[in-house]
Amino acid sequence: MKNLIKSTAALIATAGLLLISSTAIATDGEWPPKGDAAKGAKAWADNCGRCHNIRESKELRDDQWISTMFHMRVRAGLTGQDTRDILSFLQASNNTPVKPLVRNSSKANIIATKGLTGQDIYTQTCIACHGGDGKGTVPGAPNLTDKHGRLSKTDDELMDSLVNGLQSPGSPMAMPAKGGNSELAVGDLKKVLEYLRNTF
Amino acid sequence: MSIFKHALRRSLLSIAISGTIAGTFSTPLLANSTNQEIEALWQTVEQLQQKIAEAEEWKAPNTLIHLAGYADINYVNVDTVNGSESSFSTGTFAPIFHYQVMDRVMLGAELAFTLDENGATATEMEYFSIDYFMNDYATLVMGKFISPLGQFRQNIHPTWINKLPSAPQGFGHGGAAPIAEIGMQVRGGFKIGSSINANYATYIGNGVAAEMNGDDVEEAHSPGFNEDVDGAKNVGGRFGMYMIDSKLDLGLSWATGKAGEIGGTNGVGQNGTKRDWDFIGTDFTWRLGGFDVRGEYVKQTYGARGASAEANFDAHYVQVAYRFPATKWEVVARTSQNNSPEDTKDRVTAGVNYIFTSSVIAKLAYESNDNNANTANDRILAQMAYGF
Repeated sequence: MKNLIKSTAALIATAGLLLISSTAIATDGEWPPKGDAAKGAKAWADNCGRCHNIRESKELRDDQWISTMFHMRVRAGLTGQDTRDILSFLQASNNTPVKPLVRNSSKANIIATKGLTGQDIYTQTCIACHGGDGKGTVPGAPNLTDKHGRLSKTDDELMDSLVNGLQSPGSPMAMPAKGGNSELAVGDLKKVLEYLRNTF
Repeated sequence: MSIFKHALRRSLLSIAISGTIAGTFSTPLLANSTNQEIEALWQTVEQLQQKIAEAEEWKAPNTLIHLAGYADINYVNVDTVNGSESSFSTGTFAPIFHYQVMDRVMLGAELAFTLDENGATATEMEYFSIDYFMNDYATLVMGKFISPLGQFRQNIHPTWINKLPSAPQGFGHGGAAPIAEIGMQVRGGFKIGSSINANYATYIGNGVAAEMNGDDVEEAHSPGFNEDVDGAKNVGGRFGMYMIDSKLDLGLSWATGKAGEIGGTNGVGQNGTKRDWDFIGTDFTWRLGGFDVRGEYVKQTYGARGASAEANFDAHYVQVAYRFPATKWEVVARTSQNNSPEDTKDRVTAGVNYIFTSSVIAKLAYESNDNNANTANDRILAQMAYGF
């Protein structure tokens, strides 16, 4: 009887402690809270290959990625923030790009939406997979410094890849549309291309 | 001259009248037309907004239902004294069900369906837990969970993840590596600076059992007991550190408690039929370019009881895989050993994989087996693994 009381008290105390230590995560509004897609790209590249082949964003829908990422949060010991970041990256990356219908007079889709330089955008969005030196940090990322490599393509071809994403034959992972950052405009991507041309 | 003046006056008058008429009648007509267009556009926009709202509904309702899992189909050719025997077989079909309430609670359950050699279906509950996400760094897991001790059982054993068609010696059922546990677990992760991701798991559960043969411990048994046969809870856990820049993962596992005895001369769960139980383990993973190197060592010790001696079960493996750049081909080699009081089993496996997609993999491997009595058979294994 003594042991039963002791065990029950220990269980209640432990559960109480755990519940007290918990903090509210879900909000009354939209859930799950948005993460940082650019950080998510790096966390995705860093963590997912620890146990299995890296899965591409297009393998699952947005809602399927939610449960999958929460499952992986438990399985891989990810923090909540890493989970949200990776989820935001995957959800931003798996949208099929649709050519926007705009009036001829509108330059909204052409003009860069942010006052960021090409280097700023590269550092925020592209560096996770392509690396600061352009040689690639994850399997499948090309060496941008290779003279006969990816940057030997024309500007039009490269812009098409930047806007719509690219799956290289044999590569275990695809580059998502706009590098996974759906907020980037075509003007931003042109700046990135200019940075790539001048730097690598 | 007067004729010219008259003509000019008429022309100016005509222009003035036309302008007046146009000003009087045409402007409202144009305005009405524009208003109608705007109204029509608004109606279209509102319809589109409604469609978008409806399309967004399924994306993140407050509860989500999700199905995942894995399955495999196998072919095996076994060397025998009379030549060889071969069979096709279905492996495991293991659906995983997820029911999630926002980012607070997730119920997860994995069932494993298998066929025996006679074609009869067997079902096993691999795990079933309700997970409560306490905060960004800790999740409370309650129920039956895959043992958090070591790495292979909890993360690598699904066939679409395991790079070879078979498990290392000692890391399957009845081996030195614990399989599952029923109890409570707290696990999660946190950052140490900007370059290390730490992860941890700690648990309390019903524990393991010793499969007895007379007075000797014959087999380590840890399927996840649904009752505590020895009346003493086991505790343990794993702490891991992932060095991001060097892509190096290191883990340490430890557990202790009591092990009830099953079978043998004393029956099940009787007073005095439990013995001390301890576990230690370490594991690592290192990725460099196309290389993926991993290994693990685990050891369970069942303490002595009366005339029955202490029993040790240990196992280890080292695996090296290399994926050829810009191809779907991968080669893998692994050596493993399981030591129990009754036997030592060695296994060396080498294989080649074709990766159709990240989770659909065809494997072909040759497996060399050895044991103390030299009765183990070598095998050729082929497997189609599918993760979904």
